[in-house]
Amino acid sequence: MLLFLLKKKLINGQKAINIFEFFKTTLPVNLAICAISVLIGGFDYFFIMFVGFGFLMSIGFKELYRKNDYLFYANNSIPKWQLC
Amino acid sequence: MFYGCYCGFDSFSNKKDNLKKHILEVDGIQISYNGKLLLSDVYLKCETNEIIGLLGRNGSGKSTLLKIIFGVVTSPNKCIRIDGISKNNKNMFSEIGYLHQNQFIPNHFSVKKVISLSIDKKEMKDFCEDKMIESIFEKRIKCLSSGELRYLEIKIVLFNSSKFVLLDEPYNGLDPLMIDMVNEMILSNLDKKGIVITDHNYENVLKISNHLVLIKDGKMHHLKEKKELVEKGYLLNSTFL
Repeated sequence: MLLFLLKKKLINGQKAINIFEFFKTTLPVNLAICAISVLIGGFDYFFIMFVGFGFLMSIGFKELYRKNDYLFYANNSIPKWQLC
Repeated sequence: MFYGCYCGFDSFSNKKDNLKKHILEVDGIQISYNGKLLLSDVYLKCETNEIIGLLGRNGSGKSTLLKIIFGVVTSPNKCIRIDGISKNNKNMFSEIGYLHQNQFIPNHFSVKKVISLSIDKKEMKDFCEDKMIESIFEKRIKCLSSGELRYLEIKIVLFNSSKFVLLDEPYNGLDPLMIDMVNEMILSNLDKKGIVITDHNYENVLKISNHLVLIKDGKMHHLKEKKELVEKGYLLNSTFL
């Protein structure tokens, strides 16, 4: 997705790195939820959880406990709606 | 109408007259909490080269107003224009920078990473030529003192590509020398930006601002003279003016 936006020149390199850094911080919560689902239901659930429930939970976690992080990205010209 | 005492401002502004000036206009903001009208009759105009000092008692709505302008708090009838063009939340972030009153840089980053994410490559050298930045460059954000962190945040907001900057309590946690450094930094970026500043350290706000606005009882009062701060009940006496 990021490569597509970069190729189409819809975002610049610095903006792409910002978006990448944001999603990197959602990984710990997301992967923890995925790991639980793998333990309960097997590896078939990993991908579904990773792009679905796990991702939503990690965004929810950010919304509750790391809300000011969005201001950092907003100051780098990336509004919240582009990250969620 | 200049309240400040910074030297050479006139020659400084004349030199930069050929740079394009931008105008930020804020209008129609109304917000209420628990049925009580917090802000109404808001009109604010800020141009490049201008520092608006926004003062008001605790809970008067200064921070809320800045949040509304930046778009992190919604207000139904707000109208924000930049150079006469009406802006919505989606196309505004690249034109306005905002310093939150609390920390906004995530703790897990290093200073180096934050600078690379926020500052344009062309500005990087200029940004890093600073003793304070050099001394913290290799540190992680969570290892910085509150003063160092505040200084970094202010510098990042002032050096980004926005045309206007909203500073909410920039002097929080800064010692007197750092306050002077921050004031110098604000003034040196004035040729490119318009600035709205609010802080309870009113002496420094008065020192650097060239237009004063007081929020009282939900309304904005554009002040012509400093003594009006006493008349309008923001200060008890004029000893410190």
